[in-house]
Amino acid sequence: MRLDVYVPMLAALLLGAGVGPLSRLWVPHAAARILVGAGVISAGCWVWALGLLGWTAVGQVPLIARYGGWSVTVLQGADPVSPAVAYAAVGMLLALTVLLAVSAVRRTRAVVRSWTLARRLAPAANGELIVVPDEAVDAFALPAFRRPAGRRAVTRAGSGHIVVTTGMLQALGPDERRVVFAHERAHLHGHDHWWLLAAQLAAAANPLLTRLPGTVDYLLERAADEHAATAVRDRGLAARALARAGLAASRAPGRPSHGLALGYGATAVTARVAALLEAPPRSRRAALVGVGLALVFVLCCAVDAGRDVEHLFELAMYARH
Amino acid sequence: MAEGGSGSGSGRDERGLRRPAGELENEVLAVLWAADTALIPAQVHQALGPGLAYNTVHTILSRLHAKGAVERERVGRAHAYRPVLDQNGLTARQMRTLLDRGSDRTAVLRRFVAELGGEDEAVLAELLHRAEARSPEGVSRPADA
Ligand SMILES: [Zn+2]
Repeated sequence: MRLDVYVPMLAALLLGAGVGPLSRLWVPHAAARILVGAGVISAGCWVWALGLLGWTAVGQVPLIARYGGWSVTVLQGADPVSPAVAYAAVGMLLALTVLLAVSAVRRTRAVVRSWTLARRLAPAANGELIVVPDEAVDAFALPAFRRPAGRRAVTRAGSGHIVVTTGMLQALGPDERRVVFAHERAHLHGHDHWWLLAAQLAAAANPLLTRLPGTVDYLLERAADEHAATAVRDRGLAARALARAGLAASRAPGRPSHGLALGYGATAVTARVAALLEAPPRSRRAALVGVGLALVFVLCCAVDAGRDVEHLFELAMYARH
Repeated sequence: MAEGGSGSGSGRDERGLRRPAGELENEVLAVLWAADTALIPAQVHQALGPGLAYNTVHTILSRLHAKGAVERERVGRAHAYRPVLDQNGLTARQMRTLLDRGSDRTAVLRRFVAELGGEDEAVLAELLHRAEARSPEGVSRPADA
């Protein structure tokens, strides 16, 4: 209890600070999933640890102690957590609840908006493809939020559509369009929207992981780029398609002007092109084992801290009866 | 519908890649959408490059027509095809409004090229130059070809 309750916090701090270097240890597809997994586990343990710390203070409130049937004096005497820390944990938990609720509402609204978009665009679909007559240079994967009922998988992607504007189609040559289709198909196949959602919720639960969603977002784009490069068997072609699309988009009229506000910002597309011009990335197995062991250690500490708090309260209950 | 590609439904390109019917339909449709006018099968075949057999292109066009995805008119002895503009579909403006509403739309939609800054243009032009030098075989200029 003395130390292990603080281990999840230290882990979250390390993960939050190390997100950048960690993301370069594996191929983008694996790195995105490893980081999201680590982020969700770390955020969960962090909330659990805060809860344990807070509970040692809340348990000393006389009304709650009477209800739970334990002795406040014994608890105060045996509790290794200082009241300041315990109350700070309670305050933090309340703040996080608000943050998490706000984030959940926002994400839900984004999902509903995309669902609306999918429903409105669906009539224009041919198979997995939806073309929108628009001079803006845009393409995106539109996940289906319901499985097509009854029918056998309508498209190979199975769970969504590829939306592309005529502006994008006109900006690219036929072989380059195949890169775009393969890229968006990779997002649909990988269920990338859910992975990003998980990263965003983990960051909402633990503000130390602020940089996680932006990094995961970039990794998912890189993974789709790598998938496209493999699909067309030509990294140079994949780089060319992305660079040409980016150039056309930056020159096209009516481009959304949200700029750098979302964090990852201006370098994302150029960094992706540059990465495609380099050798394909490699994964480091040893690093995965390291992260796995670290997570198991954090989980063990969280469980152990839980047991310690349980014993503390058992002691206080025993003393009372 | 686009069943994973059997018989004439799939094709091989010049690299020997087997591509399912759905993907080939996408590529043919993309050519039609990118063009300003209706195209005859020979033009579509030419635009797609040497990878696909003319017969495959012809078959795909017929199938797209049967599905109602394209309409065709007689031009001399051939048919010229153009994509059907779906009246029930969303207009560009409606789509952009839905896309741009809220700052968190990236939660769900993964855009191919997003968040470009002003200084990216020069860097991208330079990178494009390098990419073209890297894979020159198919440097295909877009629709104006
Ligand atoms: Zn993407």
